[in-house]
Amino acid sequence: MKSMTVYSAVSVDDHAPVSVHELARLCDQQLEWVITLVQEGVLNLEQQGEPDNWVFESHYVGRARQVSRLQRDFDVNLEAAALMTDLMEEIRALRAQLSRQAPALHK
Amino acid sequence: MEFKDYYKIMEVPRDASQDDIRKAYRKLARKYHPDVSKEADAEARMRDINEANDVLRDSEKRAAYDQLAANVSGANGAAPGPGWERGFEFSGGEGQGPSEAEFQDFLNGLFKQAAHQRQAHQRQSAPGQTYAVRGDDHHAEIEVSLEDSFSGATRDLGLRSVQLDAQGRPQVVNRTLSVKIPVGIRAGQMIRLAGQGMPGEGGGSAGDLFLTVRFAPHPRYQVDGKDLTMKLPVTPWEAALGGKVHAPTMEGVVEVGIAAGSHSGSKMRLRGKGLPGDPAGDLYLLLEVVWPPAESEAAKRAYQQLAEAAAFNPRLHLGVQA
Repeated sequence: MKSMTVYSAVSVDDHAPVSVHELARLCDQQLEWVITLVQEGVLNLEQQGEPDNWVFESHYVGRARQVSRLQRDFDVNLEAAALMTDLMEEIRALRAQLSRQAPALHK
Repeated sequence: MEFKDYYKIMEVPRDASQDDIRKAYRKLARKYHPDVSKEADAEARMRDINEANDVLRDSEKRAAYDQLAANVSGANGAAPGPGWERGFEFSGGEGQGPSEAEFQDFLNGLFKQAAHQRQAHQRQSAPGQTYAVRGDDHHAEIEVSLEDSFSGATRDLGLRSVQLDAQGRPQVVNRTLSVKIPVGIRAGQMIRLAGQGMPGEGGGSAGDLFLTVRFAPHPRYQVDGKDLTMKLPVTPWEAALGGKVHAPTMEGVVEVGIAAGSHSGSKMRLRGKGLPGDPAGDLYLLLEVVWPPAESEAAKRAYQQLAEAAAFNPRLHLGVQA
């Protein structure tokens, strides 16, 4: 049966980011893993103060989840997963650019 | 729930070594991992592959699975071969099916988090005490149209999840949610529906539902963040002489001025006519000069007159005569 209630979704952006603890949970990782990600520059954000106060918007959540998935699924270390993530982001950006310039050529 | 042939999923024989399974996993992950794959069903395939890998790579879980498969096949009178599927429940009665411990191992492998939570609950809750466990967050993708982002539409979303019931048996739960899309949402952005994840236990709050937004391809616009790009066909005289033309935008038709001397590939920006936001995105118009066909005598004459008037050699830079 179809639900009649309409649920309002909230954008995970700078107005309603996720906390560092939420990010760890979303990645199925420990808090220390997120801290390492920030300290190693894998999540290149300007966080100030104690990790407990860190917040993250969509882009960082997606990136962190991808790094976590790659580490788990391909059994690679953080550096390799971060490099794979960088390269994949670059490929996605190039594909998007290509499809804007020549939509007919890009499948 | 559906019985899955993990060996078939991993594309390995039943006597495959750990090395074979590892190699098969690498090969399949390269093909179906949602982060690197362009296959349409990559995500669902990878979920199955991960589930199969999780069990087959662990000798205990693999043994439990093999025994389960053997029992199921015995009851069914046939070995679980290609295409073999049947619904069954893990009930584990005396003298039939895998032992309690094996079953628990198997379950742990498949439903690690949920089972772990349940065990933690059992360990820590004593009679008279309440122990609350927050439900897991749930992740899914949602495809929306540019129009949805522009006006903030409500979309129905079908969700399927596996949850453990009160007896610890995995159940597939289907549900439909009506979701109000925030205005100005962009591709790749995550949206959150508080309390719509997995239910909590022992009075614990439910998890949240996180949806990653994907745009359905649009016949007219290409999207880059909150900016849109659209090809705008113009006539040669509009491009050469300049003038006012009409262009459709997300908000309706607008009049835009074409600069004299424009050409195919010239880009114009309509500030604030992209996706809503603070500030709103821009709409880029990519001019595309379209030549009318020389089908009528009048049109042919006009082209001939243009040829005489313009004395134009577009191959001059190639060092050849017109």
